[in-house]
Amino acid sequence: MINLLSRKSKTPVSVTPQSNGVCDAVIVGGGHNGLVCAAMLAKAGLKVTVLEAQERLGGAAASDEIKQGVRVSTCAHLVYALDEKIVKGLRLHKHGLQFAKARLSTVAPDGEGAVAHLHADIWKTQAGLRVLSESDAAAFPKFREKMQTYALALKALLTNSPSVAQQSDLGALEQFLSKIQILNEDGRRELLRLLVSSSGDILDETFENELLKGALAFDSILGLNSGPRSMNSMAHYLYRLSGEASCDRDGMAIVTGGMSSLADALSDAARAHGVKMRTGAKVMRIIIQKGAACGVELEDGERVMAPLVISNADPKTTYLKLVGVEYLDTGFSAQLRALRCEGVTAKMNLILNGLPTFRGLTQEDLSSRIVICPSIDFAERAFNPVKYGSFSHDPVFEIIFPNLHDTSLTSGSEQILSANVQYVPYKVEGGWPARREELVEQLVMALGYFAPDIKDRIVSGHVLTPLEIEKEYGCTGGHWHHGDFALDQIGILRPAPGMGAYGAPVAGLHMCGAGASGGGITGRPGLLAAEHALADLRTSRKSGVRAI
Amino acid sequence: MNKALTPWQEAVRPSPFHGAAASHSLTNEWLRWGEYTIADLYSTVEQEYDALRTHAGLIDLSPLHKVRISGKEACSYLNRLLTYKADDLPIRQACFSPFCDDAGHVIGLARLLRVHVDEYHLYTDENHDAWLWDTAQGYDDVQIDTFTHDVGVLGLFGNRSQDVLMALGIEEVEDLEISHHDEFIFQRVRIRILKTVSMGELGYYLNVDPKNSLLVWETLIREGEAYGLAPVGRRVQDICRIEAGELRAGADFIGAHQARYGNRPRTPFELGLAAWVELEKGYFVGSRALSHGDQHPSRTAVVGLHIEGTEPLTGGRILSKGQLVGIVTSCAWSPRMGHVVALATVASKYVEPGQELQIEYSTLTELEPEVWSREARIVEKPFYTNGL
Repeated sequence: MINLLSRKSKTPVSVTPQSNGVCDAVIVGGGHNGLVCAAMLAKAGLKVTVLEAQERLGGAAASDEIKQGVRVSTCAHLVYALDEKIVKGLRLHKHGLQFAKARLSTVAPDGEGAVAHLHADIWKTQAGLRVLSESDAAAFPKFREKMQTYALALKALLTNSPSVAQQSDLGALEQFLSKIQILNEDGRRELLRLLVSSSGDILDETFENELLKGALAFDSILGLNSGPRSMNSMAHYLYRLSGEASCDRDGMAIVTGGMSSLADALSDAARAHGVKMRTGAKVMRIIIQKGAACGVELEDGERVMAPLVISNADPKTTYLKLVGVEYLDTGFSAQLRALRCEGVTAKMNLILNGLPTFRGLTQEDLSSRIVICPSIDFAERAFNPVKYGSFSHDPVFEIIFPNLHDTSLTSGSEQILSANVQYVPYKVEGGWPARREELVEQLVMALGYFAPDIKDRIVSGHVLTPLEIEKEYGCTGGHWHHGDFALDQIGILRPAPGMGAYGAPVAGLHMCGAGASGGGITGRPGLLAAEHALADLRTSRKSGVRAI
Repeated sequence: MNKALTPWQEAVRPSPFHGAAASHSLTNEWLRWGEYTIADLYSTVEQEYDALRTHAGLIDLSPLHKVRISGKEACSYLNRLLTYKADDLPIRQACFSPFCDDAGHVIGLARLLRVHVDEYHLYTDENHDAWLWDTAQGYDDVQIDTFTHDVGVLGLFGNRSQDVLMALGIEEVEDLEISHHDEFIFQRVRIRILKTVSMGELGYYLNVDPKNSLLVWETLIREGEAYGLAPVGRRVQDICRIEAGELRAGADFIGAHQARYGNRPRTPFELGLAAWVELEKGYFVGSRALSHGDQHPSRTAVVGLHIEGTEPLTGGRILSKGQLVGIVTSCAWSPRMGHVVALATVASKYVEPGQELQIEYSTLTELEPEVWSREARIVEKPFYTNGL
């Protein structure tokens, strides 16, 4: 007899499935990673069902009309190095995915007239940097090349989390160490040094121009609950670079029609491969029998049974809420509870009655990604308040004007300013409802320093704090990585150290979200989860027993 | 009690029976167990051994760590905590079970008593509160209260232990079965009595309110005299539990939370406790690791040793053809067996009874190191149980 009492529902769980539908794999959550995973599994011949609690698919890849005739990406706004295996493997372009702009370049104004330009092309960047500093321009190509080498070497460690790799963390570390043999001894030493360094220190020792350092530091902290002087910021920089370095083709890209078009293309591709997708289907519980996941139970009590359950939800939701501690080891659940997953990035969309003027930027520059981070110290000061439950008065911004590349987004003359804003904490002293107005005012004021006419141009706006991102998109803490990307929470240590030491914490349950191997709209966690789930199935079919 | 203690500020407290026990101590030999001081030896090893093995021994077990686990989810919680099946334990019964960490290594050994539908008592040798609380995280209705200091525990073991209780007027104990417990009234004092087996003897655990401790102790001693009852200290308990093949945490194995070296913790299988691991019951903490026996084979085993000579060789190195293959963890001269008996941890290929081994043991004799060597052989455990 197995324990038939479920703690959550207090109703006996029958050992024989009373499911309405039997499939090979059920995916909990139809975020972009869930869709990638579902499509890949279906392509390999599995019968897959996706269950999404919301009425629409795509998770953070969402767009909406926030004003009549104006369509904005409400959460994520850039596709970052979408894996070629996904784009080609699922023929996403055939299913309607179009990039209004790929290989987006970056401009970083300092608000006083100087600008750093970072192009996808190293040599073009170098030429532009000469205005700021001759020596920095000389150092840039070598720095970039070196970082890309390390980012590639690191990719195995950062993306191969035990939750998907189904192997021991120490095994993964050995594998990683053997992979970095491609670097020579000095190279390995340097990589280990970079991993534990702050991006601030590394940039300080390489460059002299504050604006350039600020612009580069920005990518080391975006989405991270740390500043550029924090010890793990360089590792995060390399993680972000690893996506770009491994598939340089599209780099950062703006999706035509807004981010929901990516969700549409993915769900179209998934549907074409036979994936069954259900929205408004909220999973309340992952059903465990004999220590293995075997299906899920929905809000209305309906069960969907499958030998493979793949969760797109964050680790805390997946294990602590859907599985429940009664099926988890004490140490593992303690580690999960300790997982830091409070986001510090807010999303802001402003609808403007015309293009604003940024000091130092040309009209043409506005079609690049605009990074407001004039120096390392600026970013570090912006980070300080969140440590004490407040938000930055001078935050750092990542801004794009998507309608400059995609005229379909607005019907009239409105312009869309889409921004990621840091640092805005998940919990604020005094509570968010009370301080929301203050935040919005502060953000507009801070932006006004760099674009003085912005206040007069605002027609309407839409701001999501991490707390609201959590509510809207169902990720604990509102963190777009589903868990902070700190040294103790990345790669083999993600989401919990030793998690893969005995196969997986729960047999038959995989994770395909950002909590498994890193966030951003990359699709990689979904792809990796599908690959590992298939490998797992092959092993168990060969041996005749299910891998636990 | 929960005041934070620096390493040199230890809590020390007398057992509820200390005053009474002290009046019986002819040796003044005491030792520490948790926060308590208990008698190591009251009189002589011979007298105490004889009392326990042939009559009845009275043992102060108050330092046992006692935790009350209650609430609607107590049953499900315990089933997750313990390796043995806890969810079908009837009220007024008790069971024994190890409990493990995620890796399936034994943290400690527990005795579980079910008191009411949603109330259990858990007895352990050491304080494992932090782990119990950690394991309770995520449950809505589980309360964990430590009541170690609120209840004194007396052990009454040996052939005549039942007679002693009957003489006290607690005649209902005659119907009490092994591993059952109940509340009894004795001189208008309510005591919970658990019938159990320990050290190879049948006997009882008596839970006593500290304010009645002296009354109960004195009455037991007075009425027990006719049956040969005597207080028994820790030293003789240790001899008897080695004879019975019972492990002691800290001596025969290191709890997973105390171990600092990676190869020191043991699985229940390595400790010979497989009978208390119910892999079939469904999930419990450590079950995933333990069910992967092929990936994590037992490296060591606990065996019984018959050692030549008369000296106990605790800590002795076990050699086979000159190679170190194990260590003697508990050792004593056994009056019943007439030879030295030991519990030892050996590499798992040396577990066959009859296997000849050598023990090497060094002492400092008149400031010169002296190495002893003794012949030994593996024998079946337990060495001795009193007809049980």
